[in-house]
Amino acid sequence: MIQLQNVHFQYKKKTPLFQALNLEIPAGNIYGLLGKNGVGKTSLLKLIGGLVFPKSGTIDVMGFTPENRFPAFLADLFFLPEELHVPAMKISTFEKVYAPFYPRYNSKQFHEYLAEFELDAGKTLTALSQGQKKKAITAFGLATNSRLLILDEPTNGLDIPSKSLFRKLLTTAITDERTCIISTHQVRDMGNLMDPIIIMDEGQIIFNDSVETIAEKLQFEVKYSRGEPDDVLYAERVPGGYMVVTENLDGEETEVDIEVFFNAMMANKQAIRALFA
Amino acid sequence: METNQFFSTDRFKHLLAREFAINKKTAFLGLMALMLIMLLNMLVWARNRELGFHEFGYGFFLITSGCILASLSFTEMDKAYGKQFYLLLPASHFEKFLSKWLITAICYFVVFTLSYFVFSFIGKLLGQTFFDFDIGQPNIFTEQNILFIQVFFALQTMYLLGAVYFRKHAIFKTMLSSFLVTIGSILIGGLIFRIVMFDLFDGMYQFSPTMEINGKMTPVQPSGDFQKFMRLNGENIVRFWGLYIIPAVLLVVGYFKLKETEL
Amino acid sequence: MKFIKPKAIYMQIADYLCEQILAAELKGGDRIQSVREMAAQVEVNPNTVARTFTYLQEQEIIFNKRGVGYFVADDALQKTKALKKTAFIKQFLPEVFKLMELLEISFEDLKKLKDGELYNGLMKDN
Repeated sequence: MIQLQNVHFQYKKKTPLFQALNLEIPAGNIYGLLGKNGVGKTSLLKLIGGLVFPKSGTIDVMGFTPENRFPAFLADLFFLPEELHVPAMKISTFEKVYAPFYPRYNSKQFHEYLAEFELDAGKTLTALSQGQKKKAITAFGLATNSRLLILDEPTNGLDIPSKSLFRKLLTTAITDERTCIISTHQVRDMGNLMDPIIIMDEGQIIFNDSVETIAEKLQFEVKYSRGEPDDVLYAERVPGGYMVVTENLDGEETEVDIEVFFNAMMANKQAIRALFA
Repeated sequence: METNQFFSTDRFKHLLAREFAINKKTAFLGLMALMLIMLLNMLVWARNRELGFHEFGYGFFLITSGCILASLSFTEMDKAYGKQFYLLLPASHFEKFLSKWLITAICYFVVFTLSYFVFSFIGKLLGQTFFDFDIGQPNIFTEQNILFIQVFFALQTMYLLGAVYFRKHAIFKTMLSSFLVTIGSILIGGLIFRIVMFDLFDGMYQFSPTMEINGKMTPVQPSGDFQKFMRLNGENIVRFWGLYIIPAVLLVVGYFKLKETEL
Repeated sequence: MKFIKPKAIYMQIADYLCEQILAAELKGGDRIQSVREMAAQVEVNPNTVARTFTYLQEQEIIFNKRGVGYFVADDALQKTKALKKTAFIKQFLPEVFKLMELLEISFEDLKKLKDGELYNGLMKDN
């Protein structure tokens, strides 16, 4: 589905963001792209979407070179940016104007999603709140049935019930033929939805594996003790004790807390990466 | 690839429909404002009992408003997220650029000309009613107006390129940069001429071509044939380059600029 | 020092289905929601639900009819009970015994508690 080989990238007159970045994403999953702020998550998504061009290296997305921005490529891609630009028109007009560009667009789905989000198609997009705009465009993006869906911080600006609805819609809309990449720093919002997990750090992909593999290699448990536990890969304070990450030695699978996993990875990169090597 | 990635009439139609849906209101209001300004102008001329409004009126309004319109054609890309939205719209760069050109050049020319006729008719009636003065009817087929139309098509390509090239305030940036490019090329051209023809200059600026013929310094001129050729064709050559070649090049450059645009 | 190991999400969903079977909300032959429906309901990745179904299939609590979907096995109730009994005996009881020893609670006390008596009495002892 997506293949980046040896990609170098930098913005004009800035220090290189990616040097020799490699990434392979097979089709049909909801990928979670995690990384600290400024590590280049959005830039990676823009490279995949053909919005910025690599300085060297090759990118293949669905058999296309993204930077050509061929119509067939664009028609199979929906990219939901963090902040939205919406034209001053009714939701129904928006559908009429933009839907014809997407060959597998499904109007029935769109109106179902709108109804779930409690949005009225007669409303003007520019008059909606930021969260409502996001819901309307997300509903449209899901209804395009594009093979690739890129969501940059999709839950930013959504209220709590909308976040829940969003998760429900995403699980129904992302069929086996569709691939979704979610970039987020609000891991809590999406934790159980994202699988596999991709972690970026210092211009590299430092982790790209399924949640099942994480559960096979690591255990997550709460330890009620006063002192910081030793002999663990990572520990962070929770009420009354510590959430600790240890190597899974007895084969028992525990609930993987993606946020804790991410923090553990950041704190103890070498040891944890060694377990997955 | 099965479908054509360069041009498809369906996609092109969708693009035009999109432009129409987004811009129809603003475009209509803008055109009406322009026509009112023109009407007021006509009435002022009628009140002063002056003839010949339409000699320059048509060309002036067509060219100025056309260049402004062309400058505004990519304002959607002024902001980063609007630019992202436009670049990801599933149509080829060629279709996108062509749709902008078709709208700001051809469609605008037709709509403007029709409106101009309608409003000059209204102006004529109003002038007769209020000031008892007939300001006359326009005729776009005068030699002068045909030249104006050609200049409109040529100039607007420059502003269209400017609109692709510059983010925000494209019109001023285009004016400034075209001015600078013109001055710059004259200076560079002059300088090259001065250097290449060094021997033929007398002092710093004085161009007095002389040649030593039979040991005598004799003033020289371009050959009679060349002078005759330039007299006959000089204007045509300038027209041909200015009205066709350069605008065509600008359009091609504009297309490639859009194709190479990154966020 | 005490540990709490939260179960893997796919096991949590399996427990949820087992509880429904034990409570007779799901009976033998009943059709179960599709992977995607279930994933949407509990808001997890469909892969996770797929693992749950594979696990329950291995335990012969549910079975897959090709192209139709997943169904509750006829003897699902017995199978689930057996599974839960094992879990109760192997995981839950040892913890209870340990606590009973620590808190000096006898089996007699437990029986009385079950009969609804003596909550206050037990409290008085302390």
